[in-house]
Amino acid sequence: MQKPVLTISELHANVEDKEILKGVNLEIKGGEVHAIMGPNGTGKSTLSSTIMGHPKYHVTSGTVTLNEANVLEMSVDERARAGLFLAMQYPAEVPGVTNSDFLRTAMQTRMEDGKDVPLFKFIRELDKNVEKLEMREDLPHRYLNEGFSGGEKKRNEILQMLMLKPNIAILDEIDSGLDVDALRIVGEAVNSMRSENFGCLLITHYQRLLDHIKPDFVHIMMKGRIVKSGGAELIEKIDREGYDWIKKELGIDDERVIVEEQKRKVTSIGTCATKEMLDL
Amino acid sequence: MTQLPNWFNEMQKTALDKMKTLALPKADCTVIKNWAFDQIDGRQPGEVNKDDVLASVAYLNDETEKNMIIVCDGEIIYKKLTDSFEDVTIANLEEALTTHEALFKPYFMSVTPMEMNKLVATNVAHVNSGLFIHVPKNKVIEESLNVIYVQSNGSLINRTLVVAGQNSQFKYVENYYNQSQTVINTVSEVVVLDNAQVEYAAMDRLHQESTVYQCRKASVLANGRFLLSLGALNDGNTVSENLVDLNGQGASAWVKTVAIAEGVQKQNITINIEHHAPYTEGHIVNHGVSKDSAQLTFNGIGKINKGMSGSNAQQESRAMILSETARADANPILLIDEYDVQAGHAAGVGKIDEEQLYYLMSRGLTRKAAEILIIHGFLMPFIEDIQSETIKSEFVKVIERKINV
Repeated sequence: MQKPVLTISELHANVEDKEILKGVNLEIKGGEVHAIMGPNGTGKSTLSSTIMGHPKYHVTSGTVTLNEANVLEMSVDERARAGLFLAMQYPAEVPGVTNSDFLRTAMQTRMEDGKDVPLFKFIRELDKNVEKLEMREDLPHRYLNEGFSGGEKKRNEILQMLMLKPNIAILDEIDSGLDVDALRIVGEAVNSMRSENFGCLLITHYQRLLDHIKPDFVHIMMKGRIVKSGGAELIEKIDREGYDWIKKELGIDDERVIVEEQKRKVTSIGTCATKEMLDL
Repeated sequence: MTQLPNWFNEMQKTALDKMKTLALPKADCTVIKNWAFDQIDGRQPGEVNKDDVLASVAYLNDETEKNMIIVCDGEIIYKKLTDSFEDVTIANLEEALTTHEALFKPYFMSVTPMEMNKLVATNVAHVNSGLFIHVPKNKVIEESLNVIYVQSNGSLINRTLVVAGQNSQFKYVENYYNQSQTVINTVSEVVVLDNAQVEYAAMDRLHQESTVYQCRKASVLANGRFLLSLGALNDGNTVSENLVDLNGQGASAWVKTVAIAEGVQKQNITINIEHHAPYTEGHIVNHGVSKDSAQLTFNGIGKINKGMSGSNAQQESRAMILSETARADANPILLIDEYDVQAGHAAGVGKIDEEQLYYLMSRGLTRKAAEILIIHGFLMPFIEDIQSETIKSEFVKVIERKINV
């Protein structure tokens, strides 16, 4: 099997007509673990969503290829079947759809025509991974992410990764909201995937996760671009000194591309709409 | 034909009169005044071929069904019951009015009087099919009773009366099946006596674009429980009224509805739970899908009358719109005339959630497969309530067919 390579070059992307990614270059090969660090609002999550093809993000120029195939021409599901996986920061809840039905359907999409996912093997593997991640035993029968705690949702993302065995996985802030034990469990699970056929991109702004998953490459993102790359030594320096030295070195004043706007008031019919609109 | 009691003949005459002046039921958001409810087709002479009828509904009646009754044009043509239905009276309308008159008469029309509306009166005046089920006091039945009402000749004007005696428990599943395009008018009344429990599941899958009026109404006495699971899957224009009167202290009702409207069909579904006693509880959950150019309306009504303190009225209506030309309305109505109560409502109409689609697709599911899974999940609350595995799998099949096209 060919070693997977994800190549991102000069990637520019917009959200609602505002440019967030301003020329990202990155190459992830099988066997490698990359970490992207950086303060909030610098475009890290935008990068992961853009690679996966979230409809809100529009690529304006640049290329993304997976084993030389043009990822940007693929629909979201084609990207997944090509071997990409994104563990999401805020995975959706899907009521009425059980985890096991969902997983089996997802695995079925990777089967050849006319072949089914072997049921017993599937159940055995699911049980094994549920145990490995120390999740609730009734997980297969629970509805997808519905009523899950923050930590359960994150573990469920990792569970899907273990089951779907992608070639390139992007883990978007998989560590936020996880306690020490959960962090260790998730770290072990990711490490168990490490092989020549698996490349991984970790997006985080805490160094804690990187204690458990040792990255081969570390990149710092600011103003929608990767501004500095290096090895594990970067993590220690950031842990000690923060990001200011990089900003100083590069002459960056404000590292952000996303300035949080005031949230628009959302009104649902379910609650008293008038009262909410009037701010009572 | 057997001689029917005089009081019944008189009642039918009165109903014929009242039909002319009574108003149609309220169907908010749908104009029904031109619907052909009154174009009732008479029976043509000739015998029904029972074997043909049984063959046409065989897919609902496999060997796993323990208790099954099939009524065709008012006649019981198939009956299979285990010992657990011993002492339970099950009779067609003619037998109910003659052999079981003493048991039948006190309850008949006690819950759905003909004055309710024009179509209930029409039902009394023209009734030509039906069933009377009486579960005696203290009888607890674990197994469920499946009934299929088949229309084969002329319009189906069906009447069901279910009486659950004190402390009894009973599960009932009804299916309607029609063979020709005609007017269908079904009225079911359910009497839940003190501390009794009735689980009532109804699968409406009338096809061939018949004009359909369906009314189900339950009266629940003290500490009684009534659970209605409704699958509104008719192909034709339908007005469906599902009403519960909580008449005794501590009575409760749960009504779950799943509806799919497709083509140019109009479906208007009303769920109304009225609290006539203190400490009563009513829960309504409606989930529906509207596709093509169909119109789907949910009217959820919770009404707590004055003095009925300690009561709880909750409802949730959600509808998914699958095309640009489909329409769905969810009208949540709470009418509260008492202070010391709990009440809540939620309603929402929208397209399939783009974030859910993206999430499922990001795991490799095609857009179509993701949509089907989400819709399926959205309709789950009803499916998981169905007791019979045959009916459940049939229901899943119908849903899949309807949402796949």
